[in-house]
Amino acid sequence: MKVIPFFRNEKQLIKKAVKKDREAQKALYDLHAPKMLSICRQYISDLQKAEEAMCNGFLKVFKNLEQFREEGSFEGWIRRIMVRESISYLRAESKIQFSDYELDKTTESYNNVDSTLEAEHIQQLIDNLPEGYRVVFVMYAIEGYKHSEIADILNINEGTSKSQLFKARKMLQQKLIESNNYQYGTDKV
Amino acid sequence: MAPIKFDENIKEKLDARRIKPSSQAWERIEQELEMPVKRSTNRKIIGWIALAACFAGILIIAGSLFFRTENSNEPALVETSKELKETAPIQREKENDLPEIENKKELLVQEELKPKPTQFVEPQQEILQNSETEQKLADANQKEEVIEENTDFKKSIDKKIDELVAQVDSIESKNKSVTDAEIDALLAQAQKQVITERIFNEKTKRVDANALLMDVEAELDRPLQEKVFEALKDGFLKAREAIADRNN
Repeated sequence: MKVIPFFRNEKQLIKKAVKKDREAQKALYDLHAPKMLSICRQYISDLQKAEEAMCNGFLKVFKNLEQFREEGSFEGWIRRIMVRESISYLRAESKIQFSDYELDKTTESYNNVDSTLEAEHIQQLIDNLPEGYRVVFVMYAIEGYKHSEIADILNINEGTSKSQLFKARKMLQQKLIESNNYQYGTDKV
Repeated sequence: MAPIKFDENIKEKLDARRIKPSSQAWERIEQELEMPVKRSTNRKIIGWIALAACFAGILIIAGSLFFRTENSNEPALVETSKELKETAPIQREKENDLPEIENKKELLVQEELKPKPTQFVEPQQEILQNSETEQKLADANQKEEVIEENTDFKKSIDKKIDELVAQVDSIESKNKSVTDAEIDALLAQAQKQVITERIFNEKTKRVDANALLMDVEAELDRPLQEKVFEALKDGFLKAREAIADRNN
């Protein structure tokens, strides 16, 4: 019952925002900013920098709003802009390096993510990943990009994307085990 | 646990997360949204000015090229026709191809200036022809002047002859006879008067520089004086004979 009015309301807001209606723009911002900042934060470990990237992303959203074709969801459209903006920031800061790190080869199975584990803790684990691993992992595992898309966006080979993802998972697993050992004092396999 | 499940668990946790932006975030966006409008307006104005400047520049260049091309196509013809128009009215008749020519001088010039049957003339050749035409016109003018001078000269000699005849008649009526010496003296006087009149025009009260020069040169050029004297003498004798015939 409430979903239909929400979408109708969002469409109207978009139409108004296209005509540079500041209130409509503010309403759209208020509606999506918390989620978008969370997305930017997945890529950028510094919250202030993540917010900066989000602001730049919203500027692009409002400047190019007439290009939104209403074929997909508005949130999905904004998400893609935010991801690209975050990657642009990392590129500008020369933080993305697709290097290989030595991993513990004994770890083969994946631990279950503790349901009590807070999002902030997961974010910390992700933050501790090397930039290349983190970006590919977030893009693939959380944003749902395909390897070909990731390769295209990051200007890398699909093989590199796959290997970065594999290594990111391994590293996360190791960190998760370390985290669990630290919390409970035992392995939780 | 499979890697997909592992990813899904993390995705679930992070998707549910919301981070409230700071209050300055929207202010910053708002500021940025207002600034580009001014920028774009300025850019539009600058764009229009640049477009107008380009258009004006193109017009100036195209105009200068057009006029330059037009001038270079027929440079000699335009200037020549102007000069000819100024120097000789006959030229106009030539240009208009007037069929009737009134006097001898015009006939002469017309013959000389008559255009050749239609044939392609190279620009260089045309310029040469034009200069030749100018020369011919100048010659024609000189001829015209000579003709006019000769006519005036003849008129003044005829006038003097009449005066001489009248003087001789008056002397004869007084003295019954006139000696050759007296006639020669009268002829010499008339000769002098003719030359003086030629130098100084009574009507215009002007001294003819050419005639004065000729008079000076006449000191060296004796045949001219003799020519005048002979003309007066011949005229006088003919007049006398005519009078004598008439009396008889």
